[in-house]
Amino acid sequence: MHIPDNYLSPATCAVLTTAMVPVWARAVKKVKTEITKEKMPLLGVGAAFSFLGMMFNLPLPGGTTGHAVGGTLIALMLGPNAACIAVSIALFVQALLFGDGGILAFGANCFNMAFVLPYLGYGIYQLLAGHMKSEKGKLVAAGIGAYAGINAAALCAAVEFGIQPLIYTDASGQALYCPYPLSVSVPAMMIGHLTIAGLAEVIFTVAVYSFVKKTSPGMLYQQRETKVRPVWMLLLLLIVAVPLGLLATGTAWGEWGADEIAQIVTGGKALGYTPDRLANGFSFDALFPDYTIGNMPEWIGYILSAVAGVAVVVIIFKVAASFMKNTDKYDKQ
Amino acid sequence: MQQEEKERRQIPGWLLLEEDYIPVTERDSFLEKTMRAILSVLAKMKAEKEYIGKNKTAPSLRIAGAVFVIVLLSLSRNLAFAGLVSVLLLVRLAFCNGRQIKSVLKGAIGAVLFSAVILVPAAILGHPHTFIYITLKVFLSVTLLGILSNTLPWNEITSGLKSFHLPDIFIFTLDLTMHYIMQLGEICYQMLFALRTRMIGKSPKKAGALTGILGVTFLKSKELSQETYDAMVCRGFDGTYPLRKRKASPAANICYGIGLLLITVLFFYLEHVSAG
Repeated sequence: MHIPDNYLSPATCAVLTTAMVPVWARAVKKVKTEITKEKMPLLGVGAAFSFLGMMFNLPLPGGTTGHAVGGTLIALMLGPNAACIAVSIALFVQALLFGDGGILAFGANCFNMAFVLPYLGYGIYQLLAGHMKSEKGKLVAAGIGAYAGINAAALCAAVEFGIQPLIYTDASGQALYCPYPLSVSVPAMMIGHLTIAGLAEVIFTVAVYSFVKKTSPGMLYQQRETKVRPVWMLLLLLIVAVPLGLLATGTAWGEWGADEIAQIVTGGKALGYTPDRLANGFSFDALFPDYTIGNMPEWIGYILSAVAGVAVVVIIFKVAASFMKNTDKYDKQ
Repeated sequence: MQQEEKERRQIPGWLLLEEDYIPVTERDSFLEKTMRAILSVLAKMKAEKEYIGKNKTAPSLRIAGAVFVIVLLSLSRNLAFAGLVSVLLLVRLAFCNGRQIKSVLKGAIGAVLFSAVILVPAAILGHPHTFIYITLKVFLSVTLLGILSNTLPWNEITSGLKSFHLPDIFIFTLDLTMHYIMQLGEICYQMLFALRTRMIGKSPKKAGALTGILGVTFLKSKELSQETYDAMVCRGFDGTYPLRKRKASPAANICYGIGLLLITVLFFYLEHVSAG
């Protein structure tokens, strides 16, 4: 679901980035009041879960791949505003260090995965959890929220892809950016996400949420025990397991390189050309492109990338916390 | 006579004048800035003094290890090794607290900007790879040293240096310098504070005030050094620094050594792969 650069026109990117600005501003403002200085590093842990979740690529029907995002999970743990910021930071690190998701398309990716996904997922959870009495019922509500969230995000991405050939074509009628219209992009994205990727998001959300609830309830509620160790152990386990994401060999739908798009077969025939701007558009060389580190074996590079990504998001939120004022407990009385 | 008496009883004219002195507010409040700067350095040193490192590895090993990794880093000719070191450093940094991370990154970013400016011609003349590579190496080396200096209290750094057979006179000088920075800093702060409380409005002689403080501090430092030396001699100091060993944990040292060994093996492996 990480839209690369040049698949969306700069105008589309600009519109979606502009739409994100007030969302980010509001989220930052709310997080400052909702989350104490001590809890701020937990946002880094949330972002780390999201970062790792996105590294587990799963094969989807049609030869493409997909992954969980974990936006609803962070929203359940720390609230939707915190989730918005955490997923945005995870996406930023992915785009900047690993070239996963475009720099120009950063706003669009955030719109899908850091705005639509957590807010909708959390909203649906709240709606359903109110009617559920048992703990299991709440977990079901969390699962449904996660499923709805990731599918809404995928639909948004599909629509953003699909409107490109309607707006931007050259004189010969060939698309300049993403060449697939809505009739192709929507089913292509949604079949994968309604089935496997959606299921992966549900499993990821429910499993991690119930694990954290059991081992470290302080991360979810005030005045409860916060045990950091089991959560770190879980992160470590995920990092070690990350090369499993390499087993899915295909490329995610809409994330092909400029060299492979001409051969992609959709709806029975190959595209046969490379859209102009895809071939000659904006390019950015990430430090560790596609989670590879120099000439190291792929799986080692993948693990090291996971470690580095987790470390970077934790560092970012620790530094952010150190800029926050100490929470003054005397104010409230 | 009566006239004189009357004049004597009258309130003098200058006392009847309305007070209309409004001090010009000082724009940059020079004294306050100086005080704040001194205080921040003192606070940092005090915090460092109170910091009890959880790291049980011997300081000498950590210093040697850092130097060793920096040497490997500058010898390496492929991005993979730099990538490996950056991952390790990021993990180490992620375990520091926010204040330490900020201070490490501040230093590192300064160094990176400086080297980036120097290397701009390389990027323009068609070697963008060199530009990125050398800047990355500088960033990593400075970050490594930053982490070391931020997580090792200065008294442990001196003890680490002692185990490298550094002459005692160097350690003595370093040790006393650290003490004096704190002592004299406190004296400076007190004098600045005294000056601040006695001052209203804008002072045209700010520089003069500061030279006075510096002069007094210098005199004080002479006094203090004599007193300190006498006190040390009274307590039996004969110029040698005995190496007081902290409860070093052999397990931590061995782990650290194995880590260094792994890094070395990976260094040669990656160099070999890139050469072949």
